[in-house]
Amino acid sequence: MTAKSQTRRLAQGGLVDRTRPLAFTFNGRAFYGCKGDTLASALMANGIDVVARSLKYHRPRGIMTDGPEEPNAVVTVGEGSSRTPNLKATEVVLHDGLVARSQNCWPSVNHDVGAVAGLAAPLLGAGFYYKTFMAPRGAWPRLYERLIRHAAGLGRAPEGHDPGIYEHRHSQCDVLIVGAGPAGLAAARLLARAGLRLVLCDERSRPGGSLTGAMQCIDGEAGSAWARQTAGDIAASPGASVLLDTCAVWLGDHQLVSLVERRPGAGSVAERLWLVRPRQIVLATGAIERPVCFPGNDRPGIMLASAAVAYIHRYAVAPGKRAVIHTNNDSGYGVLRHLCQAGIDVKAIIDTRPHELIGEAALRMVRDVDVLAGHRIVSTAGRHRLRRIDARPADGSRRSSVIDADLMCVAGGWSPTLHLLGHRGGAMRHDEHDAACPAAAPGDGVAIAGAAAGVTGLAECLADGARAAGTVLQALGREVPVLRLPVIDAETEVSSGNPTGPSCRSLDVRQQRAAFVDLQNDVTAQDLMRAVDEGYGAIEHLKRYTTSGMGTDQGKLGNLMTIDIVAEVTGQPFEKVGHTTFRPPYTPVTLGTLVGHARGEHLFPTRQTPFHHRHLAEGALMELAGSWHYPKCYPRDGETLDAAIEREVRTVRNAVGFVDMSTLGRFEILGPDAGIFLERAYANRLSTLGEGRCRYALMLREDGVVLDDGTVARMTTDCWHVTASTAHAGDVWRHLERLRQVEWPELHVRLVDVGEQWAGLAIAGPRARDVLAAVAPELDVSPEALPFLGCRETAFDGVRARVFRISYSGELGYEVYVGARHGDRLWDAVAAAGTSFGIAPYGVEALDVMRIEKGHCAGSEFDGRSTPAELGLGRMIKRDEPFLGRALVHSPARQHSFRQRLVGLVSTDRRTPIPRGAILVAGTQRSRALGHVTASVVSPTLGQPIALAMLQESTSLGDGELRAVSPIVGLDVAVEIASLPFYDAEGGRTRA
Amino acid sequence: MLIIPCPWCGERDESEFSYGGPARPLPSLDADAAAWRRALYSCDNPMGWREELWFHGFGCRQWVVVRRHTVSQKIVDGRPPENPS
Amino acid sequence: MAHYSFLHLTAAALGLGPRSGPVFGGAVPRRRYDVAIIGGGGHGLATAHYLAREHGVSDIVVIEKGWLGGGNTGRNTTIVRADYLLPGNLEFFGHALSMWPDLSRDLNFNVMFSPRGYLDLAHSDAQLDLFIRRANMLSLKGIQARIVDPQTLRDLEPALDIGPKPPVPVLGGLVQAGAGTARHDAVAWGYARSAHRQGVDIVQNCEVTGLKLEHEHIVGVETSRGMIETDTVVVSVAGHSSRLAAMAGIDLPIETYAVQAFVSEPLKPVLNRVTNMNIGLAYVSQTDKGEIVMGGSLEPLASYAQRGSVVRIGETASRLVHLLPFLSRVRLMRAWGGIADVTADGSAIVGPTPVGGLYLNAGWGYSGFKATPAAGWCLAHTVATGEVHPLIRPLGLERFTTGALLDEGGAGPYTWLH
Repeated sequence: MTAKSQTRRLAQGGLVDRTRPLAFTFNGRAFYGCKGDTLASALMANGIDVVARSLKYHRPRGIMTDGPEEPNAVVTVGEGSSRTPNLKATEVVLHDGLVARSQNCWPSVNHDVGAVAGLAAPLLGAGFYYKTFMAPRGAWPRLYERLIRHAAGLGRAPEGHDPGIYEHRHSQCDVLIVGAGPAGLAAARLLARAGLRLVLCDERSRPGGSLTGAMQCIDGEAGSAWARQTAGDIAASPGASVLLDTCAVWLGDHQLVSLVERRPGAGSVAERLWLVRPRQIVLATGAIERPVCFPGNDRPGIMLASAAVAYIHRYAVAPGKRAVIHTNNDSGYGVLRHLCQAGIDVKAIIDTRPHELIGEAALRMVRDVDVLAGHRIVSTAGRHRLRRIDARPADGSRRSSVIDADLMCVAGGWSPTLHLLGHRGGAMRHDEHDAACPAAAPGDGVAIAGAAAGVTGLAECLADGARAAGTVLQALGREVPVLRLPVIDAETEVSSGNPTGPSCRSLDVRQQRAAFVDLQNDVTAQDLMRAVDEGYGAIEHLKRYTTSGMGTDQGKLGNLMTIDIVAEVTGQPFEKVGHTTFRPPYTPVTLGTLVGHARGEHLFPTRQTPFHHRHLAEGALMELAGSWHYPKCYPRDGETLDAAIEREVRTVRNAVGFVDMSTLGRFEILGPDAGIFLERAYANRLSTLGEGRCRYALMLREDGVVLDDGTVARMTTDCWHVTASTAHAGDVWRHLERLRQVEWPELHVRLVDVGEQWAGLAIAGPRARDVLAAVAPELDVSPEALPFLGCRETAFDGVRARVFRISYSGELGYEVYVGARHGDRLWDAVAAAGTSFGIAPYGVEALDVMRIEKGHCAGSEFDGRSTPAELGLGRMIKRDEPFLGRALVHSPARQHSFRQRLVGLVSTDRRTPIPRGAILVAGTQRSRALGHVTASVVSPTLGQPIALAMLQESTSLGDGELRAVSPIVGLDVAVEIASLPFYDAEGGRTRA
Repeated sequence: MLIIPCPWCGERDESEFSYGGPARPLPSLDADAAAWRRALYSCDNPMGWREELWFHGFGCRQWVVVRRHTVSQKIVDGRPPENPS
Repeated sequence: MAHYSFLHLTAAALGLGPRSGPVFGGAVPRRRYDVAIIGGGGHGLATAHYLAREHGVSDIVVIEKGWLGGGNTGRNTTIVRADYLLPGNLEFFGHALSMWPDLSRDLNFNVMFSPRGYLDLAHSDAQLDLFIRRANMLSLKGIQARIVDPQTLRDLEPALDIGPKPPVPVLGGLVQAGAGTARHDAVAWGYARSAHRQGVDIVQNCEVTGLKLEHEHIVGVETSRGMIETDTVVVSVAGHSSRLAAMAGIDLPIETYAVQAFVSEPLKPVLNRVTNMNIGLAYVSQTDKGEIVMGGSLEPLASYAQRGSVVRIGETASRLVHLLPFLSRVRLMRAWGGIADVTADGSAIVGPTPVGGLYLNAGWGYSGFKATPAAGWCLAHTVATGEVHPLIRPLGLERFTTGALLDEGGAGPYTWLH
């Protein structure tokens, strides 16, 4: 039953497990494949010819390759939230229950209405959209673009939340070997023997690379068995790991290599990103066979010769019945034997080269097959699969050879897979065989081995792997161990794949529309030639103008053909044409893999204060402030947000409240020169501060703009306690450390970041002193002993505490700090001590209301553009002592026309709220902004709307009144300037 | 992500550091506005080697001076700031 | 040279009409030009186009080190918007946006400007306040912008997952309906073709090796293909501005940084608009071809390397996936980097320099693409008339002396923070 549908499955051979059938569906039809299949091989085994449609002309396409270079067989896999579009069937490992669909076709892949685009092909040549759709004005976005957008795109986007789990792993090792083919294995076994920590990765599920798709024997056993054995030995070595299904996708600076491990059906993790930092890298990445450009080269049944061989030997699938081999070099002849072995009838070998250029060894392999030397293909036929080939002599004679075939194996030579090297910005060039190779030596820390280095032949690749390992060991200063090279069974060695003759440039494709260069994007040779004619001959222009190489295969097959054709058309040598840059990643990577665990709540690290659980217990509405979870307010049952904020403000103004201060930056500055240090770092006078006193302080950037504000407290002669705002805590810390370490290393001063060591509460309100007295019974809290701006060290419940008499709210206030782990006790003690006064915690919103009432600057005023004078803090600046920022804070450089000052605003009618984000204008002169509202609130204390604003200093209102306008919501409110602060101007409450 | 040689901690990943711009001495606090403007608003911006400051915030919390190539991204030296090279 | 139209296309398809011939030529530079423009990107080519068409100055050579549009013109995420806050930037970018809808017809080259709308998401009250203020400033200047609530954002962009999403909610957003994207390469090609039609010489693969000065005035440009005499030079070489200015003895408040962008495989239409999110920085849109184009903030270390780190791509992707969950299964197809000039206040420097005849167009950071038509327009006016165009007066180099800085981000004199 399971075998019945697999009409193309060979009875013997292959590395698939025929005893493990896997059910899957393709376009709704049920099929079976075998364990070890890819989706591509399973489809081929079931005789599916048309897998997909091309992007532009919707031409039927089959399977062309056996790897990440596949341009055609691109499908959607999975359903619902697991649906993933645009997967290459050649990369999808088959598993039981897999659901796959063709995309970009309607109603079905075999009968696609979109194929009518092919009729309009002459109009739709490269860059057609640049030349039309311009009239009438506005028609592009409204009409043409919509049509194009709906026609373009391959698969449908996934939907909903991705259930997949992704993880990142970091690895440091001595050597990373990319590719577990013959060269990679040969290198790795030697390096493992030398005892190095190594990682060997390969994008396929099995080690062996080309060995798994051929019949070579090594050390007397089948190549694939040798590879399995060797990989197992390597994995068993101490410090070595072998990662299969793991593709190296990105080679970054400083040897950071990203590997993507795909784990279909293996545990909970779908994909894993390995960030490997090896000291040395061996690139044993092999080579990709090149296709050949000829008219009708895109029909299902036309595939790379190496892929055909791989399907036979790796997957035991016969890719066709009647074959033609089309080549321009000797490697195509090696394919013959494999096809015959699979029972495929080889009708002819069509070689573009004249007879005399064909190697003798190659010709010796030919028995009973016509060799059409010096021929090119002028057309192919077959609607859903190749049926017939028309080949003619290249000399132009009309003598035509028509061959019936359903399979064409194309062997256009080999391109080393060196994409990773391009990621580091290394330019590529072409060698004498027109193969891409790095323009310069790969540089320190990278060795290239095997086919990737242009080496051909199994024995040669094994030896080259060992050589590369030697280079690596030498670079690491290690001895090269003695290890016998594996022996190749001479009879199984097949002629090399080195291109020896002219490549596809000998083909006359000048007028051919259906000679495809980029199969996915439907770019033809004719497109390229027209683009060159129009002046887009620079290789990067050509890529962008024609979209050649811009598909999901990123031109792994097409780029070389593109260069080839440009070389031919422009008469330039291959070398001069240049090469487009290989961009990372080597093969597409799921964004989820790059994201890893950084999603949902773990998008970025967040922080909780020592009082976090108390906030939650009190029913706080929490929000994120920077990276901190912080209470916005504490709404009670049935209370609206506004009501809660108002209640909290009233509680503080009329009785007492408390608020979490633990998010502030907090530093201790120690040492005999601490005073001098602070004097230089802050803009106001600090060295005169006495012990047990604190002061509001302002720190400037070098350019005279305010960097941050905070309090500076002198606990003892040489110990200062400094705070920074929550938002700038990190910046201020870096800044102070830089001043200490880099600018003024001569000062004897030490900085300690103590932010996380203290849990702090501010107690504010007329009854704050009573609360403090209960909490810190050892402390004399009388105004005489602890005046405004005093600070003391004391004890709280047996532990050390610091008390600062400072106030942000404008009420009598104290900040009390204890060790972070005692936070809960402090909270409970404060809450208990204040119960009789109706104490309540308050959040950031109430804090903000009260600071506006007091006219204190905060984040919306400290916008990184304002000087102290603009913020009304100019009087704090010391005149005599030098400090950082002084040169520019006083210079005329800051006296420019935009200069503003902080003002208070009230609405003229004392009733209408002042719109947030409003712009200040004079009367009806609405186009000239005079300033803007930075913070606006309806003050519960004053019972009227108030706001802080920045207003141009030179404002003369003329006869117009000042208005706060918010045109986006149609608000326009007459306002008046009010003196700051709005509340308790004399500060009597603070000093009580 | 680069590997930065911290003179105190050894080779560490760039993610432990924050970048601090070119390593050039600031003018003295007494210097005039023109000198400060020159220091802040003219940049070397070399296409090649340069010395720059990095703060090892998730490590030893020391500022270090690093010699880095702005094209190849090679780094050849990491030293404490107070030791002139 | 042929006029592009549907008719032209049809005729060409039928093999009728003349062969089109090279659209921007491959000129060999002459000895002398009235104006030499260094840098064959969108800005330099636009300057050439407007000088020729608006001011009748066509004895111009555009000198490009590599291939036209190969710098940031061909490397950006193609977003066109005008949502700046500070006077100076506000008016300039407003004017720039107003030039885009007519650009294709103006150039007879479809640059595919698509005013599909721009959403800027606010994630905190403070951000929302700032957005409201910005939208108000724009409205007062006649530049379209509005503020919408989360529900409207969802209607505008159904793929956005806007809910109470810890750790970062979406509280609203700024919407600019007339903003959108354009096809970046086409902008370079369209300007080049038009300039070429008007007699401008465009020289590719020609590197400037020196600037020749006499008595503090420019007299020539030394290139890898010989000396070119001229008394007017426009430097428009994003990423390399410092190096060119240094050839004339000018120190710029500019450092060079790499910025990465990346695209997914092509998908059927799923995103309508350009969306910018402000958890860190991440922006996203979908091209007409179906690729999702994504970008983030600059690589925070001075660099001339046109590449960046996979780790930072992952950081940007995490922000995008947070609000567009479907992206998690979408696959990254290609990533690349460009190098951008970043000034010490984060805004561009455009206009004359202390050296006579030497004009500068630099410091666009990663805002240069949307400025292309207006920068070319204003600079052409300035060069041709000798009067600095009013729109670029606030963008002059002298502001770093006068102190009239345009620090949109409030990040200070630290280039890497802009």
